[in-house]
Amino acid sequence: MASAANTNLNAVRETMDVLLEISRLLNTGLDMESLSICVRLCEQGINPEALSAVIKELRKASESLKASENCTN
Amino acid sequence: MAHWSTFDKETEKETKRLIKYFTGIEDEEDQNFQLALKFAWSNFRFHRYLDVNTHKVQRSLTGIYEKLMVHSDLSKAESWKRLTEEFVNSPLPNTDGTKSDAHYSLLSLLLFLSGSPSNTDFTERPRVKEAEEEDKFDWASYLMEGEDIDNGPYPDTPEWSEEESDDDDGQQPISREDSGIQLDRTPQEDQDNNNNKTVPVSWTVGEPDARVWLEQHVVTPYWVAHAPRFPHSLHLHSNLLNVWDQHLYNTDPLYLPEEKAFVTETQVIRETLWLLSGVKKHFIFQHHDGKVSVRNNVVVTHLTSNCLRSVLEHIAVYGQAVFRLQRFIDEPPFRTYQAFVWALNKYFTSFKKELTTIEKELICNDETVTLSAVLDRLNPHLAQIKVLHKVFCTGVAEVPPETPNVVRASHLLNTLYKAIIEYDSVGEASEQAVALLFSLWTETVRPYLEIVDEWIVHGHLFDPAKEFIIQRNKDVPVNHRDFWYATYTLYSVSETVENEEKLNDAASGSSGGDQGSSNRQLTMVSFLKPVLKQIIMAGKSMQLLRNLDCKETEQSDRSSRDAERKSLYTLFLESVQSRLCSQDESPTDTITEQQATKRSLIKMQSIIAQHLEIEDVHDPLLAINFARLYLQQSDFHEHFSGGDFIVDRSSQAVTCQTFELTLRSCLYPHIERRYIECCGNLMKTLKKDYKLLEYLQAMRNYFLLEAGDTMYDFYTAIFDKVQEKESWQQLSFLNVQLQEAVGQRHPEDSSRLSVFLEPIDPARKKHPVNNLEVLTLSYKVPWPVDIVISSECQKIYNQVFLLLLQIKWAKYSLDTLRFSDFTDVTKKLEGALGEEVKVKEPINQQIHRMCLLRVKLMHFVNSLHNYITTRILHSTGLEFQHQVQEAKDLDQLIKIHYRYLATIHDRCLLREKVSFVKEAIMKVLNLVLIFSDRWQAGFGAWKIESIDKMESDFKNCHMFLVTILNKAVCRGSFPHLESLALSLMAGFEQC
Repeated sequence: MASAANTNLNAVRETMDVLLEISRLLNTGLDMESLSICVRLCEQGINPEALSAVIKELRKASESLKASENCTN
Repeated sequence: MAHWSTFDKETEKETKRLIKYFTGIEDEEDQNFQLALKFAWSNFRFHRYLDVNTHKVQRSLTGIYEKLMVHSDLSKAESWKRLTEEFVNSPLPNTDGTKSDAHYSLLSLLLFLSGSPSNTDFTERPRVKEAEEEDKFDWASYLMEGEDIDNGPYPDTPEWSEEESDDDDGQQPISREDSGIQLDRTPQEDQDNNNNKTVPVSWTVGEPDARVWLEQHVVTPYWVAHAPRFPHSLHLHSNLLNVWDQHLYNTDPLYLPEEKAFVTETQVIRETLWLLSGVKKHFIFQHHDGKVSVRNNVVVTHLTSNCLRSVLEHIAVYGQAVFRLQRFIDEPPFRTYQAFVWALNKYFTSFKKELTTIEKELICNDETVTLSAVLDRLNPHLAQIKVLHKVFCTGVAEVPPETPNVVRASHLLNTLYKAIIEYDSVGEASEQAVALLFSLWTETVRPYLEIVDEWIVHGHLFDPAKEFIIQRNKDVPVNHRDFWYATYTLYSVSETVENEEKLNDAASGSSGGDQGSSNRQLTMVSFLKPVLKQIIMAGKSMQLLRNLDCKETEQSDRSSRDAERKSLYTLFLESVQSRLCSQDESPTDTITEQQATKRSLIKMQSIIAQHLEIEDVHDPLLAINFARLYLQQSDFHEHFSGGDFIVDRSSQAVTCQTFELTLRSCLYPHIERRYIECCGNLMKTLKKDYKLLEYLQAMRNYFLLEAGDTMYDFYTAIFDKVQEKESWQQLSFLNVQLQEAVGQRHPEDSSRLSVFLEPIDPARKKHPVNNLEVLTLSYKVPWPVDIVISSECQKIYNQVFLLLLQIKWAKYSLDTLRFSDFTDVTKKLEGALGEEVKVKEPINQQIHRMCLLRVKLMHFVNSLHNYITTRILHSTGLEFQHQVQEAKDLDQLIKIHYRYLATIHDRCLLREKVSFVKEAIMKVLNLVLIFSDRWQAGFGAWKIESIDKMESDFKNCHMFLVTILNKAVCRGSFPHLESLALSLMAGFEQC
C-alpha cells in the first residue's frame, strides 16, 4: 500500500515537474510554489481565467505597493 | 452547507497563500491583505468568464506549437509538444484520471499567464527536462555497466611502490593491456569505430587530465567488499570463468554461484611478488598463524577458479617457506645460527632484487607479463627456496626448543653437510642447489672455524654460547694433573660412529669426559670428524703451551706473527677460491673433454661387452655401468694426480667427489699444519725445558733397576738384614739406605725418591718371598711431566720393581751361599764320628745333592733374571726410547708410554690371566729362599726328607713351567718367551 502511494506520489511529482517546464516555456513567471497553489485552486474549480486575472492584478498591486513604499522610504 | 463551508475554507486558505505569495504580505489583518482577499474572492465567485473549453485549450496548444515551428524554434516546439502531451497524460494530486478538466484548466491558466513565449530565450529549458529524465533513468550506469570508472576512495590505497609514481606521463590512457590480458578486438568495439578505448560519459564533467592521471596511477580497490568490476574484453578467452560458471549452472541444478572478488592477472602477479618478498598483508593470500593460504573467492575472468586456485596454492607454499625463513631471520640466538641467518639474508637480498626487477618490468608495461611467465622466470629461485626451506626444517625448525646450543649448531651444520652430499649425488640436475648450499655452508661454518682457530692458535676456547662440540670444563685448572684428560668435554657423537669413537678415545687416552648420553640422538659435526683429533690435540697442546713458561724467544715472536697471521676461515676461503678459479683457465676444454669422455665411454662399453660375453653374460646395462665405473676412476685419477679439478666457478658447482676433496684440500691441511706446529712445539718444550726424557729414564733407572749399581746398594742392604734375621721393615732404615745409594750417584733424584711400606694381605704372607711386597717405591714427578708419568703408571712400575726385587733376592741368596760351609761340617763329622762309616756316605751324598740342587736353582733363577733384564726390559726399553723420539703429540706420547708399560707388565708374566705361571715362579723363588735358609743353618739342621721334598717341589714346578712355556712357544703367540723356555728346558733335561 505504501509502495502504491509512493509510486503515485512520484507520478504526481513528475507531473508537477512537467507542468513547471510548460510554465517556464510559456514564460508565466510562476515557480514551483506558486504553481502548486494554482494547481490546488484549479482543482477546486476556480476558473483559470479568473485566477489568472487575480494573479495579474495582485502582481500589479504588489508592484505599485512596493513602488509607493520605496517612494515613501 | 457544511460541505460548502469546508470547500470554501479550503479555497480561502489557498487564496490566502496565493495572496501571501504574490504580495508578500504575511499579516492577514493587514488592510491591503484584506483588500486583496476580498478582490480575489469576488473575482473567483462572481466572474463572468466562460468555463474551460478543452478543445479551445487544445487548439491553443497546437497553435503555440505551430507558432514555434514558424519561428523555427524546433527544439522548443518539440519540447512543447512532448511536455504538454505528457502533462495531460499524467495524474494530478487530487484529481482522478488524466486529460481531465483540471488538466486543461491548468493549461489554460498558464496560457493566460504566458508572456510572449516565442520571444523568450528558451534554450536551457528542455535540458532541465532531460536532466530530470536522466535522474529517472541512469544512462551512464546502464551503458557502462561493468566498466571501471575508478570512483574508489583514492586516499585509501594501500602500499604504493615508488616506481609507480615515477611513471612517465606520456603513457597511454588505461587500457586492457594493463590487466596483463592481451587486448583483443571485440565485436562491440568494431561497431563503434571511434578508437577512444575509454571515455565514460560521466567523465566529461570532470577535468579530463586529472581523470587520466588517476586512471593511470590508482588501482581499483579490489580488496574491499563489492568492489566495482574492472573493464575487460568480451572475447570468449577473457570470459572463461563466466562460460564455465554458466556451464555449471546449466548442468548442475543445485549449483549456487558464489560471491566473487574479481582481480586482474596483474594484481595476482603483484601480490605474488609481494608475498615472495616477505610482505605479510595481502588480499589474495592470507596469513593464519604462520601459514599462508589462498583466499577462497578470488577469481580472474579468463581462468576457472579451480585453475587459478591450484596455481595460487602452489605459490602459497613458497610464500609460506619465505615467511618462515624470514621470521627465523629476525631472531637468531647464537653465532652459528647468526651466520646461517646472514647467509640466508644474503640469498634473500638477491632474490628480492630479482623480484623488484620483475615488478619494475610489470609497471613499465612494455611487454606482456603473465603469471606463468613470472613463475617460469622465478622457477630456479623457487627451487632454491624449496631447498632452503627443507634444510631449514630439518636443521632448525624440527629441533626441540630446549635442546642445548651445541646440539642445535652441530645439527644445523650436519644437515647442511648431508644436504650437499645428497644433492651432489643427483649430479648436474641439482648444480644450483649444491652451489647455494655450499655457499650457505661456508657461511654457516664460519663461527666453528673461528672457534677452532682461536683455540688452536691462542689456546683459548672462546665459546660463550656453548655451541662448539668441544667444551672446556671450568673446574679443572690447567696446571692440574688431570688437565690433559678431564679439561674438555666432547659432545655430539653420532649414533653410528659412537662405538668406534669411544674405542678410539679409550685407546688414545684423550679427553672426552662426557661422551654424550646415548639415549638422545646426538650428531657429530661430520666435516670436522677427520680432523677432530688433531683439533683437540692442537687445542689442548696450545693451551698447555700457553701455561708453560716456554722460551722467551717465541714469546716475542708471537705478537708480530699474530698481526700478519690469517685466520683459519680466511685461509679456507682463499683455498676454496683458488681451487674454484683453477677451472676458469680452460673453459673450452671442458666441452671437448666431455665429448672425449662420451667417445671413450662408447669405446669402453664395447670392450667390456666383449669381456662379459666371454663369461657368457649378455647384459648391455651392466656393460654400460662397468664402462662408466672405469671411466670415472680414470677421470678421478687424472684429476687428482694433475691437481686440476673440474669445478665451475660461476655456478660454484661442486661435485660429490670434489666437495669432500674440497674440504680435504682446502680445510684439513690448514688444521693439520697447525696441529703439527702446536704439538711439535709442545713436545719440544716438554723434552727440552721440562726434561721429559730424563724423567722417563729415571723411572727406568730406579723402578726397572737400570741404574744397577745404585739399586744394588739399596737392595743388598735389605737382603743382608734379612739374612742376619734382623727386622728390615722400618721406614727410616729403608729410606736412609735409598738416599745413601741414590745420593752418591744421582743427587738430583734423591729428594724425589722415597720408599713406603704398605701392609699387605695376610693371606699372602705365608711365603717368605712375599715379604718384599710391602715395599713401595715412589718417585715425585713434577707437573707437567706427570701427565705422562701418572700415578697409575707408577703402580705398574712398582709391580715390575717388586718382581725384579724378588728375583734379585733369590739370586742374592743363592749367590751368597758358600761351599766352605759344607767342608767345615764334613771335617767336623769325620773327626767326631770316624767309626760311623755308615753315616758318612749319606752325608756326602746329601751334600752332593744339596750342591746339585743349588746349581739347578741357580740356573733357574739366572735364566729368569736374564730373561727379564736383557730380553724384556732392555730390548723393550730401546724400542720405547725410539718411539718416544718420534712421537708427534702428547697424546701419542702418553699412548706409547702406556703401551710400553703394558708390554713389560705383560712380558714379566704379571698379567692376571697368566697368574698361574707367576705362581709357579714364585714357588721356585720361595724354594730358593728356604733352600738358602737351610743351607746356612748348617748340616745338622736339615734332614734327607726335606732335601727330597725340595727336589721334588722344584722338579714339579720346573716341569710345569717348561711344559707351559713350550706350549706357548709352539703356538707362536709369545715369541719373546722362547729364550726362557729354551734355557729352562736345558736345565730340566740335565736333571
